[in-house]
Amino acid sequence: MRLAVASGKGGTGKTSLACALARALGPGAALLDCDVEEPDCALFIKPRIEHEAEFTVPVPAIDAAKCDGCGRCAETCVYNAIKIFTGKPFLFGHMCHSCGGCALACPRKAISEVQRISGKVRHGRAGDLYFADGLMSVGEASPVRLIKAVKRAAPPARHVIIDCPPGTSCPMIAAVAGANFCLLVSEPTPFGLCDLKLAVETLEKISVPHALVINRSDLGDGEMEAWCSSKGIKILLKIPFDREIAAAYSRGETLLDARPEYREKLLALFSALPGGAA
Amino acid sequence: MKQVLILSGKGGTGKTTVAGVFSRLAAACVTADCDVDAADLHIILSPELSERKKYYGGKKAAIDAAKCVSCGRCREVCRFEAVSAEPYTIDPHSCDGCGVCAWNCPAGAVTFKEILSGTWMVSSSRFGVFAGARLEPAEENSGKLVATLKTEAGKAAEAAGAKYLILDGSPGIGCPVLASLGGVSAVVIVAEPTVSGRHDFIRLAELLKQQGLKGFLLVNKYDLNLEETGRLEAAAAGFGFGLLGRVAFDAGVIKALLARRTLGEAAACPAAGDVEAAWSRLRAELEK
Repeated sequence: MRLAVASGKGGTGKTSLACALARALGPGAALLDCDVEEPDCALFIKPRIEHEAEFTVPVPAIDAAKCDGCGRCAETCVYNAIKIFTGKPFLFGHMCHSCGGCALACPRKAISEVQRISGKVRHGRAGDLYFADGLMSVGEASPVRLIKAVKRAAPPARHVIIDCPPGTSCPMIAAVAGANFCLLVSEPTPFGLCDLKLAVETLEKISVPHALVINRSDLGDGEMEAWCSSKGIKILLKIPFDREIAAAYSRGETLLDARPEYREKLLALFSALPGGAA
Repeated sequence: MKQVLILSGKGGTGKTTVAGVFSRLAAACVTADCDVDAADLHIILSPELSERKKYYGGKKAAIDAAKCVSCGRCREVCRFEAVSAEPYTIDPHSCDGCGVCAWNCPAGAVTFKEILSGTWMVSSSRFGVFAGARLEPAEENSGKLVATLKTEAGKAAEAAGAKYLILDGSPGIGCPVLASLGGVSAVVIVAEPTVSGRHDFIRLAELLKQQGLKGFLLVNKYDLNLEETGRLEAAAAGFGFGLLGRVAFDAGVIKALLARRTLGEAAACPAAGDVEAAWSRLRAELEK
């Protein structure tokens, strides 16, 4: 079972829920933090990191001696990462998407590829829970490749929980892709509902089945539940606002540290998911 | 004209709530929602509807099965794991739009077409001009849409003679955030006093430092954890950032949101007073 935890809107409790679920599942489970721009699971799970590797992406290097300034590379690059000035190519590295097109297109074979560090992938353990995350280098534009690398780092665990980045565009898609199911976490406010609708639309487009957990369920109105019922989206759990949960979170403690009674609720939720039977 | 960008690193810390109050107080400003992935500011600013302009963010490849000779060259050259074999097809959600498969296909079987990836509009709200965009769910190139929106909002601000351009930003530190940084006068980082809030604040602060931008910290829900509030403020001071103050944890924030109004617009509450005071401090800094 590969379960993605996503939301659309940020700060609704994805990391909290993903960490608590992984902890509750315990042995044989893996937690992958795919929010590589702002990875926070490690702060709560406190894993022992066993392996850390730089993550690199290929970027072009132009051999000036071979280049005759034909401009084919610049024409090829849809990302505007290569421009020709006074007959010479100039690279704008931060625009490059590492597609490799320029190297293939160069008629004089003047372009080779070199590796540029764009983040790191770590893995380790927290007790009997397997853990991996990615940390995108500050200043990098796209987290997508690193997210895929974190997913590849997963062991053949029986259950894999994936903490996804917020939003509904490429980073979220990269994290959710391939999951058997997606648990959406939202809060019953107009902002929460607006972003939930986008997240649902996204999951429908990529055909990932999904259901909802409503966090801070008593701090809002009934519109989210009404909308879910009209769309046939199941609400699997409601977590009312609890200052003790918020305070524990602020200290880097999980939902289960603050309220151990959620362990049973989360296990029941998980085993009711398709493929979630322990 | 001063551009004020509101960011957070971590999502859900109160960017949009703060942007709404700044929009209300910065009389006759232009406001733009740069969180095109999950745009929410329109909910509390209720801009008038106006014609939405189409945004084409890039192209996508597709394989014409009738022409495909199953040589596998497209799959070989694709760096985005977007091509699956037998029959050869391209997953549009994985396709990055680089076009390498299209011009490497020996059979000319790959089409490479512009796709509609979002819409944007410039309209008006009760606080001035409002510019908003919407990325189609599951689409990409949000950075380019943010750049488009910023250009249009900037033009509208020039035309209106606006003193301030208020920009509500995206979470994270990646492409949409990078695209929102160009030309800003000040970045307000809204952060919560939590272990993860501080971690994410520091990553965003490093990005601003790298880009040579001045940041200001506004601590939201400061009374949730006073010790962490102190640590956040110390971290901000370490980056040479200004402190805009502390916003109280207050049920009034949700009330205002449920009424679809900016915080403090319909009823005063402690958090509203705190954000209003933050705007006064920021304005004084900007006018120095």
